[in-house]
Amino acid sequence: MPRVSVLVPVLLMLSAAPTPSWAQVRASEVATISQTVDGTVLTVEYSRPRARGRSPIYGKEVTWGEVWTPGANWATTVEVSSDVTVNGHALPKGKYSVWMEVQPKEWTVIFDTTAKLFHTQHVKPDSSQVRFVVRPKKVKGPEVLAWTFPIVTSTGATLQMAWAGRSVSLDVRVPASAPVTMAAEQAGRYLGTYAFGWVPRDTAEVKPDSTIPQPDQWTLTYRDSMLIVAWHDTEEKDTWEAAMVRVGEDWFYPFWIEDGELFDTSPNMVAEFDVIDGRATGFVIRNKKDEVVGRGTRVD
Amino acid sequence: MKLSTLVSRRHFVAACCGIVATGVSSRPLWGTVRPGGGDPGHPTPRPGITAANVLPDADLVDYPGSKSAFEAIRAIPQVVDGIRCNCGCAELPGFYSLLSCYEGAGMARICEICQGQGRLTARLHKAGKTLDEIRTAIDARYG
Repeated sequence: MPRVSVLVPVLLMLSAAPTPSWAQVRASEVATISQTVDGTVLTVEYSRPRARGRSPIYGKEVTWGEVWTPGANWATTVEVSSDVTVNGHALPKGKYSVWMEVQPKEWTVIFDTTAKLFHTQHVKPDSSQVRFVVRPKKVKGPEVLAWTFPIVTSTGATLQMAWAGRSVSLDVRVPASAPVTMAAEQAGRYLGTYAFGWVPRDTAEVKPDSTIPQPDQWTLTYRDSMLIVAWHDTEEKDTWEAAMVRVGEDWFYPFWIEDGELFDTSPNMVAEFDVIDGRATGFVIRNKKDEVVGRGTRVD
Repeated sequence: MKLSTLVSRRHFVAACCGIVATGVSSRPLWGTVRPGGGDPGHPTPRPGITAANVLPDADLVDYPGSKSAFEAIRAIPQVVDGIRCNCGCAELPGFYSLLSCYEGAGMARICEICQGQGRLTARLHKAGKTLDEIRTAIDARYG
């Protein structure tokens, strides 16, 4: 009998068998968290150990002086999509395994350029590593080790590891995609006050008895190396501030300031200034469709 | 009484972010992640390209807001063919340049970015800007 006659039923059985599922319960389940800040993506991949009644964790399960990866199984990794700083230390774009040398009062955070390491492959000091000292805080819990981003701003985020009564917070700063600073001599041509009004979307809708509203006021000043617009809205009787982000010759979009901080941009709202003899005489605002939706005229 | 057609700064910003007008979440145009993803380079205009395949006005009846953009690019197909569209359609099969957005299925009829890039291209061309200068401006605003 040819050998194929034996193989065929076996192959058929294999192909007919249910798809093997490799999923399984793990003591330390895998997790991934990711946070985008101004275009920079910060990603943490780790396994989440549970305390399971073990106490204390630090000084016993994780011994003093141990170079420990805050996670389990494969070393926890942090990936950054652009050059960032962590607690003021430069961390170039890339993927790193993360380790912490645990001592009673101070821990040394270590980013190692070899990302794929098992938790037993404790890294040794290396000049390519980014290392710095932190003081962990006492916290309540958590039972399961957690990496989180409890704070996110327009310029960075706090990356926090917490487990079993201790937490470590890392201050991550990302590069600005929107340059808000400019030289004083560059900003000078725009400084002054402008009367601003929106262009009606549809003049057919303007009612005969309507009154022309008072124009808004734009006051452009130079402060903290930024071109700042104070926009007084006569309709809402309120004033907003924004730093003007330069995107082209005499083109800007606003980076709104709230409570003294840059917090949100409106990149679809571009102000194009008319400059004559080195001095802005007015501007138009164009929307995403490049339609003029507002006009400003210098009054001072 | 204010003109009903005017919008406040807050309303405008909200509309720009897609909160009021479309309900679609906004995409940062100036972030390090480009809307179209991948290579941000611009295409080389195809020799002899014309506007013959650009949708006629008859196909724009239901999209009156896009008509001026179509008119603008019909006059300069050789320039528009050298511009990459940044709305994401550049990744689609059959799309060569911004001109492609105004042909076939006519994505530019509904896409604000296609329309905006078309109008800006036409405006800058009329102002005497070179293709490279137009590309730089397109990248600054939509890249």
